[in-house]
Amino acid sequence: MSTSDALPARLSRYLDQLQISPTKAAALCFNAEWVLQRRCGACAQLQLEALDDALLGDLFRAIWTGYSRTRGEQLPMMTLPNGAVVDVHQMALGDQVAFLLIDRRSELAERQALQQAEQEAHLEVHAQRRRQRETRAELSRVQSALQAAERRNTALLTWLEWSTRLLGPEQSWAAPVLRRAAGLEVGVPRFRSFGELCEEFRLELARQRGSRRQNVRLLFEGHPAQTVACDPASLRHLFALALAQSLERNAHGDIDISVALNLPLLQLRIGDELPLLARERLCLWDGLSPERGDDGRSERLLALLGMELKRLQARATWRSVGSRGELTISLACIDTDPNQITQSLKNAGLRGRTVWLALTDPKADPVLNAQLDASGAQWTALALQAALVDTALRDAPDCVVIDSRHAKLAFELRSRGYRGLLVSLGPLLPTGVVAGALDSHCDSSELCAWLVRNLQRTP
Amino acid sequence: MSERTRKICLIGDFGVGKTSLVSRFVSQVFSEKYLTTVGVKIDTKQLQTAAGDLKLVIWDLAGKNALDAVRLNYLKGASGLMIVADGTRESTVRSALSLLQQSRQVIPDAQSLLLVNKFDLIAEWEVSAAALAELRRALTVFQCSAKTGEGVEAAFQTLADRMP
Repeated sequence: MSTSDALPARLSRYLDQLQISPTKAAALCFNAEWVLQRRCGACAQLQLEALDDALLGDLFRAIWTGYSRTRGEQLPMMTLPNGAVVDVHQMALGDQVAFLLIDRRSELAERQALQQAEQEAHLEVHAQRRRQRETRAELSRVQSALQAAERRNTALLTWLEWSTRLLGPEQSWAAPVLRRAAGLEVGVPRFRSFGELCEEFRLELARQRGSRRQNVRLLFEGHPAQTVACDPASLRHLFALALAQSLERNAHGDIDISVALNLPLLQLRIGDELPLLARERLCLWDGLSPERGDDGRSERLLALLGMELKRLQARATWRSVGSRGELTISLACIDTDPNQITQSLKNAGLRGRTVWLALTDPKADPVLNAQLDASGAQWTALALQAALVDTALRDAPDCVVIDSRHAKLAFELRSRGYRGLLVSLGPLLPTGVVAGALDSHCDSSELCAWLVRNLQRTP
Repeated sequence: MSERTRKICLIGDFGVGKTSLVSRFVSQVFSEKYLTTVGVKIDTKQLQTAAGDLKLVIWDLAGKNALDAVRLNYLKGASGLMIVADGTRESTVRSALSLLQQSRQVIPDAQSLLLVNKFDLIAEWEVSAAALAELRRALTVFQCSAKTGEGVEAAFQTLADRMP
């Protein structure tokens, strides 16, 4: 291979026609086998001298694939692997193919600056539009959250208003109790049906009555299946004290007891044949310690009853009814359905449904795990990793639950055609296209209920 | 061309990350700084395929949403085509599909892939999972990130394996 600074005459004339100085061009000439025959011109300027012949041969053979070796093709503004920025003009030189490389580095910066300014302006417009969309979306989310909170508060106020309206003027004491009760969350595990309470009261009556000779009638008013949130032990104790004081005072008379569920109140009425004496009423209303009053057993029982009434924030009234007296004890309570999730899960018919949990620590939530066990669904804990996507596409579970911090995996699953249900679980709320790939976002207390509602619908 | 040297071209709208993808694949580097490509950049990379060693000659074309005569000329002789879109700009996916159609005039038999770049910016994506699933009916699609490297090697390797 020969090396010289001077370009072949033909190439020099060509450059003259283009009005390009020969100092700005180098030439490489190859034979038919792409073996470099000659390099000349501004090779140093174009950093070609560092490239050996074989490398140049391979490079230009590769570059020129698909292009004619004879028709004089041109490829402008090529940045070669060595960093040279050139226009490549090909021409035949006898039985060789020559490539004239015209240095364009000096124009590159100017063209780049113009092009870049135009493109960056477009990108900035796009970025501004995205920020506007995000702001509108955030505003929409806030508005939705406020509306949801307003609906919840309205529902709660409606419930409170309804409950409070049921209270008569003498029962206004129950209003604050109801307000406190309204703060109870569903899931407080002290629920009793009215029927269960009645049975407990019957047992208490049987225990206390024993061999006593009074006639005691016990009536219940209310639907046995109606459930209430309450402290069952305290209710039993209250009933026991109320009954005991009546049995004690009325050694021979008849006693009528009714237990009525008149939501929002549970009312215990005890009618007997003796009025409450003044000192007895003091014991009851004031919860006076028996040591302060007479040493009678009935006073002690009334005092204990009075203390229990205070503790439970219940109220007692007494009135004459003909020749009899009637003590009414009222206790505020709320009706609520017990947490239906467990029962719903058992009845849900999720057997045969496959649920995958891809969480950071699938075993960290024993309540969720227990609920899933109860559901009968076939659930599996999996590691959060990229391979999850391929595995889920292959095995096609009915539902994949993904840690919300890795919800991007859900996007991958959906974009690759996964057709099952996708749920994100955890504190982070997915947004944008990731949220769009999901069927829902839940926290662990909602997940099973959601599965019950949605897995049953899928074929 | 020698037995195992193949030309592939990267086309796509401006700013989608073509140069960054090449830089990631060839040199394992990434720069946050955006520098527009003028004309075409040539790079090479050796890799292994099922058919043996392969030298890829990678043509990174300046970004535009249409192929003019010069750019169409750049495509000649390519065995493979990577059409690149930016997941944070939905319009670039439409550009990519248009570019693919235009490129068929010059290289009808080239193997092609669609790369949807900037998967690290998923929170800003405009391209939905459903849209990608639909695209996958007709094309091989990779979600990738030149910044993190996710999906880049796999995309180039897949294209290399498919070229005869």
